[in-house]
Amino acid sequence: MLLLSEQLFCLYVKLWEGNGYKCPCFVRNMNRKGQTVGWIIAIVLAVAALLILLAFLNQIDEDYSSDEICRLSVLGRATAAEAIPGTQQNVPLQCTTKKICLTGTSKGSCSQFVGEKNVVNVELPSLKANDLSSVEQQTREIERVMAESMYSCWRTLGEGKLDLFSTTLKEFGFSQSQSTCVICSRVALADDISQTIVSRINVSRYMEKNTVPGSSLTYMQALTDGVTNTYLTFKEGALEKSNIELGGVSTNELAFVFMQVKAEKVSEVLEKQAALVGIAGAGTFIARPSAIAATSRFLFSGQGLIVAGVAAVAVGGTGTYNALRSQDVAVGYCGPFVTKTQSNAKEGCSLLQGLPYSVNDIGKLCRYIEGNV
Amino acid sequence: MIRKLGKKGEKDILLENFIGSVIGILALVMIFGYGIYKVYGIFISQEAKNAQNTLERISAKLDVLEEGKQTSFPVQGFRGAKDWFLIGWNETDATRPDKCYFGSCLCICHIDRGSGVAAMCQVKGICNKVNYESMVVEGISDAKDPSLKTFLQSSSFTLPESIAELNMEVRRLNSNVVMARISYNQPIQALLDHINKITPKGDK
Repeated sequence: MLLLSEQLFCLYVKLWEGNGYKCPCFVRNMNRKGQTVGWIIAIVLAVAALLILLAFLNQIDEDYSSDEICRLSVLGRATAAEAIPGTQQNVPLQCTTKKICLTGTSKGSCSQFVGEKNVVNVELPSLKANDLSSVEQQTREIERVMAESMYSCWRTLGEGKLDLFSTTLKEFGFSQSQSTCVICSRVALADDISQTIVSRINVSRYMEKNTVPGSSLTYMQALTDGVTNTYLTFKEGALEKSNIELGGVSTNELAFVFMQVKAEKVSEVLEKQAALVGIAGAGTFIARPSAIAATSRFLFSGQGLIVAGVAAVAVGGTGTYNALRSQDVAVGYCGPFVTKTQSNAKEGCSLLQGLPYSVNDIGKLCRYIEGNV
Repeated sequence: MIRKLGKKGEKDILLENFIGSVIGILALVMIFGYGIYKVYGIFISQEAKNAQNTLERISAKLDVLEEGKQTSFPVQGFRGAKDWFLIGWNETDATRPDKCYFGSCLCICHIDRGSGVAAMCQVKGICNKVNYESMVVEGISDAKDPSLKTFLQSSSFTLPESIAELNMEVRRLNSNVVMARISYNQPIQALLDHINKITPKGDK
């Protein structure tokens, strides 16, 4: 910076004094000793900044927890579109599905996770014979882990307030919106968990009655804020239904799934198309004369007007169809969960759901799945 | 206050500025280069890691499956999954990639139209050894491109973008040959049925 400012000063003096004037660089000569110290400080600071930056880049995938990496990538993706339009999908979502095995013994394991990496075993309080309180404790602990999984998923993925899966094509109405999911976690019960315990699990009730650690709000209050178009569901009897046969052994496994579908409004799609194509034709779909006036200046000739106009009608038509179709899809996915008005459902929604980890259940909710396996 | 510099002074300044500029440019190149390398690494490794994790999971399930038994389990999709396909090679198959060495193997390979299937697996594929004489993968790829469907045929399938169910069985064909068979239940149809069901008719 010192060097640059000095050069600029020299250039300024040269221009002011005329071509015959030699660069004085008087700053250097005025206090050479002081400037040397300045240089050393600048170099030390630059090297320190470089080291810190390199260390930060290096630490991203080493020291950060998976939740922090996921949160960073979510924020990166949500803000990328605002910084440079069209870049959102180029930011990879670094959210890895957590595999949580709930077991009653220290050596217990979940057959559902055979061959999978990074499985976290959670040892539940041991059961004591004829002791109802130990049954209660184990049940509450299972509910706590599940409630925590849901809450963590919701928080990490932006609480439904961030638009994570939009693409430029969707925004401009060239393709339809589809539901996209992130499977935050899979929670499995080891074979040593008795069916008595399984039948007692009620996560919804736990979330209504228990508060989030470090907060005065219950899980349910923290998750359903009433401001964003969000809804929380936990499929009743999901555990009982999630029997998966593996080598003849029946097991239970749940997935906590974040789903988002967002439909563009027809007017917004057409407005974007008008801005993209830059012609008056697309403006016919928007009741904004100013937009037509602003874009029509890009037209050069009558021939250009016809070609561009036809193209714009075709583009506008596609945009209208795709936007409407996307809204239908959004209503299909969000309608059952939105209680306010139908138009809310048309705009799309973010859902967090506890489901059996099965093709039938997850396949119906998610057209695409993102994140790491 | 201002005095003119001699030739030597000018030379010193030029040298000093040159060194400063070179160091600055080098530092900037290093920082940007390292940043780009890291981001690029995240992009590339994420897809390949997901493919590898998928293969390891399938292989591990196959390892624990006893002879005469069958099972089915969901395989989770990931971004870019449609560019990878699952394929199996028998130990007697001469066309199998060198990565399979002398035995049967199960591979997940990246689609590259410019080369044959074995070459794709050799160059951009991950293969795991299978402890059976025969490894059969069956399925109809849900790739949208018909030419890709023909290319991959029915002896392999692309990985799902959402979730799919794999059926797996280990069966003895004769006294010398045990076959492992993996087949693919098309996941898309269930989804399409669901979408058709939930889409309001005539509400365009």
